[in-house]
Amino acid sequence: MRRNMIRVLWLVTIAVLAAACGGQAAAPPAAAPTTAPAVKPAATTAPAAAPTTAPAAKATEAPKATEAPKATEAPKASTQPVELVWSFWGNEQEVALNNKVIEAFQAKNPTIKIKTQFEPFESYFDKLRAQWAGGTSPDVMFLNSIPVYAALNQLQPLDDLIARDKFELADYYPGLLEIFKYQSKVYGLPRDNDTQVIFYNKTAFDEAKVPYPTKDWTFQQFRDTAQKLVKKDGDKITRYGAALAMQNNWRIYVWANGGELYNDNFKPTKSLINSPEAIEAIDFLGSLYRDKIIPPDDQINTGGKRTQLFLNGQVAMVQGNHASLPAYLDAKPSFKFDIVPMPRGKKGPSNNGGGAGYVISNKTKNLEAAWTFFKYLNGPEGQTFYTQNGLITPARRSIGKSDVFLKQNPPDLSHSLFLEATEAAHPVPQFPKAAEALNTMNSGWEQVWAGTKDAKTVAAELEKKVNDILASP
Amino acid sequence: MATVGERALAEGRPTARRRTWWQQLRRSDAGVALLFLLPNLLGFLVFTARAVIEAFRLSFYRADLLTPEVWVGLSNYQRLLFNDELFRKVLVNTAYYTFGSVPLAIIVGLLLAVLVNTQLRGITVFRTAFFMPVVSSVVAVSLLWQWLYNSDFGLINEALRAIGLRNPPIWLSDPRWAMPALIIMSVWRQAGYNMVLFLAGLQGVPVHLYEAAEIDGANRWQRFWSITLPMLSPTTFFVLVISIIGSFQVFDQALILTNGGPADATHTVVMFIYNQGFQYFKMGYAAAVAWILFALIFLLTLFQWRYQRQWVHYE
Repeated sequence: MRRNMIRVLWLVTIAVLAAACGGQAAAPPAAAPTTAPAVKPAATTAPAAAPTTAPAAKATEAPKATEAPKATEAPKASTQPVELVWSFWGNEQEVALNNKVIEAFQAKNPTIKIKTQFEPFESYFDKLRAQWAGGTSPDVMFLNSIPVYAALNQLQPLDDLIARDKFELADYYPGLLEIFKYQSKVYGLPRDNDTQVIFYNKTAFDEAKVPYPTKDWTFQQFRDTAQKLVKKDGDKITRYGAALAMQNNWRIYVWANGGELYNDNFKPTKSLINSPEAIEAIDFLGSLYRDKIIPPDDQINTGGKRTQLFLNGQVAMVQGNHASLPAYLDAKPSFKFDIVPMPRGKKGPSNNGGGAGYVISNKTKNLEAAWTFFKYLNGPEGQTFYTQNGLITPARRSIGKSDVFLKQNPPDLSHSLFLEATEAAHPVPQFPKAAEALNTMNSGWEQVWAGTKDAKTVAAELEKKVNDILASP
Repeated sequence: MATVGERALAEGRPTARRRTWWQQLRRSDAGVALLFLLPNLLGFLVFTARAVIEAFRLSFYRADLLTPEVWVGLSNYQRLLFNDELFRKVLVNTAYYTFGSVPLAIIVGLLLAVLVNTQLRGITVFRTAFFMPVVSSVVAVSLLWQWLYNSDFGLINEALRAIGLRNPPIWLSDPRWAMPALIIMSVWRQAGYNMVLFLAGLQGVPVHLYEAAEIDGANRWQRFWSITLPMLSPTTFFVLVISIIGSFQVFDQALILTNGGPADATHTVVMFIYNQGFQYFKMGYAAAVAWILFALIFLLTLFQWRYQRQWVHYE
């Protein structure tokens, strides 16, 4: 009995072992050529591929550049269907819209089939990195922090293709183009700008008999206005003056007040955060928390929470970008609302100069097809799609100035304010250690928001910490 | 369990020494045990051990897994141990969390177990209720507690205001209160699990001990202190070891409840590993932290193992 059982066990084990070995025997040969060489030599092959394929395509007029080496095998490459993978994040509306864009593109380009790779924002970048580490990548990607990923050698430089096809760049806000470059090469193009404005509840203003804010309001005027809108029930606050997007966006107040984060936005060597201008701006924001004009940080630290507070009437004003507008319209609030630019500091108005955009992977096997799709996404047609659905402040000036943007829903909202605000944009610092430095500063300021330390002390600490990060290997 | 030698003696076969290791393995219990363990062991070797060794190698490099690796020797460890202020902070936070939540969760779990260790009708309803948090999703639980902790409309602050506190804490936005908030939520989540383990332990305590003590005139408290606690000590030891290991690896509830904030007040070691590796692309650095964490947990467990003789009573 026992002997039999052991015999069976050995048999099972051998079977398992055989299966495992079989799997491994099959796996390494498949994995080795794709992962190992793709990860490291990509550094040498990718840049080499771009210059060689582009001229080849020009000379022979074969639209698929990467087919060049195999030209003899596939002479009809141009009519062969090609499949591309396009990755993006976004909310439901945006995903539906992306599918419409694909339909429209495929109607015009029947030989290029677009597959999608959707991933929520929270896990989007982890997923891409896992794919890259495995030697694969979507062909066309929606991405931010372009210089970071260009430095990791994952993106296709586009200068040659842009020059070859005379793709027009003059239409873009120059500041926005800047953050899509790395070592003066273009690695992608912006779709939109993260232009922040203040939405305000007109009905709440009317009730409190507070005049509507003006386009040129200052920090102090913002504070006074917001304070008048605070509503209390005994000790308990039932409505705050405003919900500001503080994480990362404290930068706008620093810039508006004449401060800077670094001595250079793209190749920083020194933190400038410990300046009187920056400290004053942070102190101003801290005072809003201290005097309970804005809710504690945990109530306003995500866009969803801010939207909810505004729609519930628990705040009279809320900071947001154009993407938050469709949610406000869909909810059909019982109150009327309008927008006004961010308040001005000592230096004047300021805003985020930076948004997400499209890039092409340097691992794509179909560069020409990817470029065709890329041009469509960034061209007037693609931009029109996103703009008319109210999701973006377009990165192209001509689209912004067209009726598509200005006459969109709701017609009585002054959409042009988004464009004016974009003209005042300050480039968002972009460099490989930007995220670490920014998180460090976010955490530091949270002590000011909570009132456990003052702006001056924290600024001095942060200057040292950020300098350490910049100097680290 | 008899050893090979003992069994050979018992069966009167003194030839064990001449057998090859293979024969020995085939005949011995160890061989059988190995066979039963093999499927799991294979999975461990392929999916865990390999990754652990690779992480150890990486910890001596500057590596982002995408561009060529650079050998840096011990400098990752050196920087972590002597030059990284944030790492020191996350270590202190994790220790704070562990020594705050583990004893509380054990005490509450034990109390609950004693409470529900009766034969009352409908007691299973209570047992289930106390166990519910354990099987609920961390995400759902954390989001729920965000609402409880809401400083203006949350139930907790409503209750505090009702008993006359005019300025209750702003919990998740205050660096001084965020960690206690996280600990309270974790105790609520963990106590039910401990309760079930203690309950099993309690039901294994022989009734005759209590009867004897009663005859000797021991009161309820004396019986609990002199019988229940010592008899439960193997369970307590198990719960303690498992809880400390688990709480040193705390990640998900802190990520969702507070995202490590405010001002890094709930930033834990595992979150630090995640950020360094997956947000800042410093895989080598992250791997070094993982190994330091491993060493720490290993030493703590070893320490507990060594000193269990002082207080754990096995029958």
